[in-house]
Amino acid sequence: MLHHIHPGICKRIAIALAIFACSLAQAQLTNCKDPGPPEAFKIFVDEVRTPADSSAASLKVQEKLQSIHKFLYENLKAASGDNASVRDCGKRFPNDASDFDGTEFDGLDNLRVVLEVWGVLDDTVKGSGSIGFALVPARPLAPPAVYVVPSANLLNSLRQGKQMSAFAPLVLGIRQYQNRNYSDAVLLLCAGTQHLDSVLHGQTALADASFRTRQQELMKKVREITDSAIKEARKAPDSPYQVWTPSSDGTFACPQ
Amino acid sequence: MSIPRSARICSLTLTVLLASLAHAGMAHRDCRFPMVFEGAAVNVVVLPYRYASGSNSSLTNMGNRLSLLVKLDVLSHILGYGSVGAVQMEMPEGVSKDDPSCLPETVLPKLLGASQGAVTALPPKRGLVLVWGLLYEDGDDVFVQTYARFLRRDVDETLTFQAGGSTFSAKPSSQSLAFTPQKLSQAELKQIEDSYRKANFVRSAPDDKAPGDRLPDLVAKCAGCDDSPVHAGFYVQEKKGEWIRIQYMDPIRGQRKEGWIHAAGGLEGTPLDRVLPELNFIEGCAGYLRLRVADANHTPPPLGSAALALSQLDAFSKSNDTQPTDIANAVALQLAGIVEYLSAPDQLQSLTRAAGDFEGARKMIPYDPNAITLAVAAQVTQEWKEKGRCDQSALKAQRLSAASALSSDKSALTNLNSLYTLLLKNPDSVPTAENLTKIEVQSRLNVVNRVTKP
Repeated sequence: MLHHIHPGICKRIAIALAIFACSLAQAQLTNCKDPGPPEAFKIFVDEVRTPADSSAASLKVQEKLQSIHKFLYENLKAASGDNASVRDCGKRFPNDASDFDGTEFDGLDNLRVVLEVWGVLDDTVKGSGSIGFALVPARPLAPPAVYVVPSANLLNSLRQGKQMSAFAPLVLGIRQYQNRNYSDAVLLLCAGTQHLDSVLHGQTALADASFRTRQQELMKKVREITDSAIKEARKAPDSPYQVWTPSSDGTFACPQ
Repeated sequence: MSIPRSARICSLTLTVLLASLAHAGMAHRDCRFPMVFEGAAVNVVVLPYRYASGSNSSLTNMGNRLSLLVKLDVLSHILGYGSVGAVQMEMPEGVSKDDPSCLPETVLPKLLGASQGAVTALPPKRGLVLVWGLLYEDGDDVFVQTYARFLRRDVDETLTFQAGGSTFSAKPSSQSLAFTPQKLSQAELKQIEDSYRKANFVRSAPDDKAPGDRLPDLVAKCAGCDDSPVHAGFYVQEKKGEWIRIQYMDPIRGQRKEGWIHAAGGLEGTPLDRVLPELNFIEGCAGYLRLRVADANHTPPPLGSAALALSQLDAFSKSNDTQPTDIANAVALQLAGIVEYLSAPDQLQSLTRAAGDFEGARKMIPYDPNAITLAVAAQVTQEWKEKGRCDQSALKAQRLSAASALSSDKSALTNLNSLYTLLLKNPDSVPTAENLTKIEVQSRLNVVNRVTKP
């Protein structure tokens, strides 16, 4: 019977269903208080909380939570430069990594959000906890593209592992690739790959084995799309990518 | 925001007095009316370090104090460059902490004359290092993160190399840097407080016990200056250990005065740049800009300035070696390479050292088109000058072709054109996998020409 329905009505039904799905997801995750301009790529920085009710925490603990939040915000801003708008999402916070299901990812993707970050401070004295990352455009490449990285001291490990900002260029590069902006994608993919490589292998490498394994899988996919992005970028007649010479096996890789 | 006329006149008078002097400083400058020393080739402007969250007033005060210590410490270490100014800015008491006047995005356009509000803007072609920071509290500890932006007004930082009639050009990979946050203990915070109390005085002798006046007392209170205070600048006459002897105008009495500031007292004997190693970068960066201003003016740089800049940039790189892929490390090496090159552009040795620095930076950030271009251009130039040929041409072409594609600036293709044109002049040698044949070079050059054709 569907073929009797006017295509315009079909489109409206689809939009209504999408809005309904979004609202279901938002029942778990509150909306970002400041989602930013619609046209810009965005990075959402959610609340940093304690496992218990953070609003009941002492002033000292609340200041510590704010410090971690501000640190994430400022460093993501520095890492993304003019490529993305970093947004302070107020009280938005996932109860669980599984809150980022397919529907939530679609909603974020529609808002042009490329990365969402949140934090949990488990031990307010020792400073231990975890940082969560939802890499929105990476979901089709390495599902579920949600990573929760434990740390013995959140602020200290963020300070030493500045490479945590690696995710910003990486997801922006993947998104540009998905949008077929191949020329713009390559530099971001190469910068993200290099930074993530430092996270996995450098002196300040993260020790969490599961995180490293999943990141290596993601890196493999990113290398594949980098080769593809360069090949696609070369197809335009006046593309500067035409001057880039491939390696002996005909593939392209980021400069080493 | 318009500046009260009388305040402007007072400040201009002071600026004119100080304009011809070689090293000048200014403390406690109101962020809403920023200024630089017009006569200085390079200015370092330090904004207050802001407290990242909450309403901890002691940390907000700490931000102002730290910025004064940073400014004085930097000034005392860049006197060797001659013609330098340093300004410390802060927000007067009572102004909301959310007021944006002290943010770099507010101050910088004023200093560059892009928006109104500066008492004196940076003159064209002069150098500026803008420094700011954030303080994060973590229990008893405080993390300090410093940021810096360096530039010359209306001039880009491109460096040019010439080899065999071909020209290559590239610039540092970034002019805005976020440094690794440094952790300060409670003891160090207390030491900052103590050092601030010592540094905030102009004393009659280089001794913390000698009588003196507090630096804020240097405020020029001109008759009819409205309620906008104008702070006097000072001229540094000499440096003696951790102390600098300054001369300043007392605008009320119209007298020249002299005194000593404990500028580089550090924290209880520990130099401040050991606690905050990024100060070495800022100092070396001021030296880099000083050399570039001198080079652009075709005047010789102050004696010993290149060696001083190199030692400061090297000290930063060594202190930050736990972050080997940090872009700040790479930029420090690039600035060092440019200083090496500019200090003796006709000498092969300086070009060889510069090429080594640029290659070190490229290895840190191998994806960056400017890092690749600086490294390849310096290597090609060095080899051509030394041997009259270019080795490992396949690798150089591979790297520079990637850089040309990755660069958002299409003129990057000019560098690749230059390389292929130069390789066509390479003396014939036995073909190897490392070197391109002239047929291959010509074929690639044809592709470059086709892509660049309008």
